Amino acid sequence: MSNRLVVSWDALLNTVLFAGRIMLENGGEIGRVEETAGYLLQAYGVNDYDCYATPTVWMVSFRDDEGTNYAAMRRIDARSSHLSRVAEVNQLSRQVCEAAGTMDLHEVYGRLEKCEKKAAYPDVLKVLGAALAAGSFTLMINSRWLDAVTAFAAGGLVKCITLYIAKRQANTLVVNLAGGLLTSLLVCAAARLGWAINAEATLVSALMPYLPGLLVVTTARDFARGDLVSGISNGFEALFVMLVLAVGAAMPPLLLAGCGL
Amino acid sequence: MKVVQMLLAGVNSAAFCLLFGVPASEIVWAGFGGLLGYGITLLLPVNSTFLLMMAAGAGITLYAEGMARYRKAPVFLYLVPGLLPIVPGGVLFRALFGLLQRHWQSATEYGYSAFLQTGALMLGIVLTSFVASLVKKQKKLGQQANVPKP
Repeated sequence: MSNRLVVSWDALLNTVLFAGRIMLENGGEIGRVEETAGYLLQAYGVNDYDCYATPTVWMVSFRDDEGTNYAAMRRIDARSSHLSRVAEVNQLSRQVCEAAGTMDLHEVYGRLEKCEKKAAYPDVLKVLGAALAAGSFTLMINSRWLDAVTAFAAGGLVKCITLYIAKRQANTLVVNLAGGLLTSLLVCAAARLGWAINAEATLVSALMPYLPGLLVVTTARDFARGDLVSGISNGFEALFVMLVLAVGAAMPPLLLAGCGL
Repeated sequence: MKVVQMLLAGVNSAAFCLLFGVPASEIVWAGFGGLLGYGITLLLPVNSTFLLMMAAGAGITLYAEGMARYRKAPVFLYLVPGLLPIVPGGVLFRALFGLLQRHWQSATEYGYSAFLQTGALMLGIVLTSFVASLVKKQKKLGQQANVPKP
């Protein structure tokens, strides 16, 4: 305890907020974020603290030994899923705890900056992931090779386009609408050409990469922990993403039917 | 056949790892979670979708909590990819699709099925997560009791 560094409380507050912001922006769950913040604060000798995280707002407040209160909040604008960054921050917080407050805060902050810039998988691998997810799911549910090849190609192609769109405009709804629409268009065309035997199963599989699976799991975990606000907002976002996806995917067949084709 | 399907579920999980940015060192472990979860829904001799989904959710959560402690990484790395092959997204999608095309019958049938399956899955996750958090809390309390007071 005696070799604990005397830290500037502002620097500690900034570091904790930064760590939480990285986790929230990259798909960490609320419970994990609040726990990590608590561990970091405890490592530097703060025991009287409150953290509150939601998918869009992140606040920390604590009181030092003399009774002065410190509090700040950050707004979380862009959310995506790079779970390796969350794992990295988790690893760092573990090390800080083991050092029991002897690690320099500037060093911690610097390493957090490195975590934030940690490279995600290259786009080629993401496209391959989407194609594989679509193709393997087709084989899982109806095992027709032709459908699997179509779903593989459609999943990969559409992921290329949605990755491009996501880089221009980071709005999940636009990305999902485009994903649903383009996938449906490709699969409908393939079905007309005879490249898909069970068109519906192929379409459902090719849409697999856009399923809000992370949100569904987050919702369950939030409710399990009693984070009602995050649970409700995540659950509603999952439903909304599904609806946008379905609207996008329903357009081409409805238009085709409307034109009498 | 079932073995091939389970292996495909593992491949499916591993593919989702690439999409969610799971670290390369954990992809095999996370993929195994998907294989396990889909295996539970295929192999368990229960004639009820609700119970099957609940068992699968509980099984994957248990596996993920165990792996997280063993590999010292967040639970999410194993939980999310593992659950994706069995999340009833296809069913929910069919329900919404039916709603938009005014096929009320398929909309209600698929909608009910999706609601039930998602609910069962979540129940499995919630109950197991809760039990895991209880275990964790007890450990922490025990550790605190051993620390001599200054």
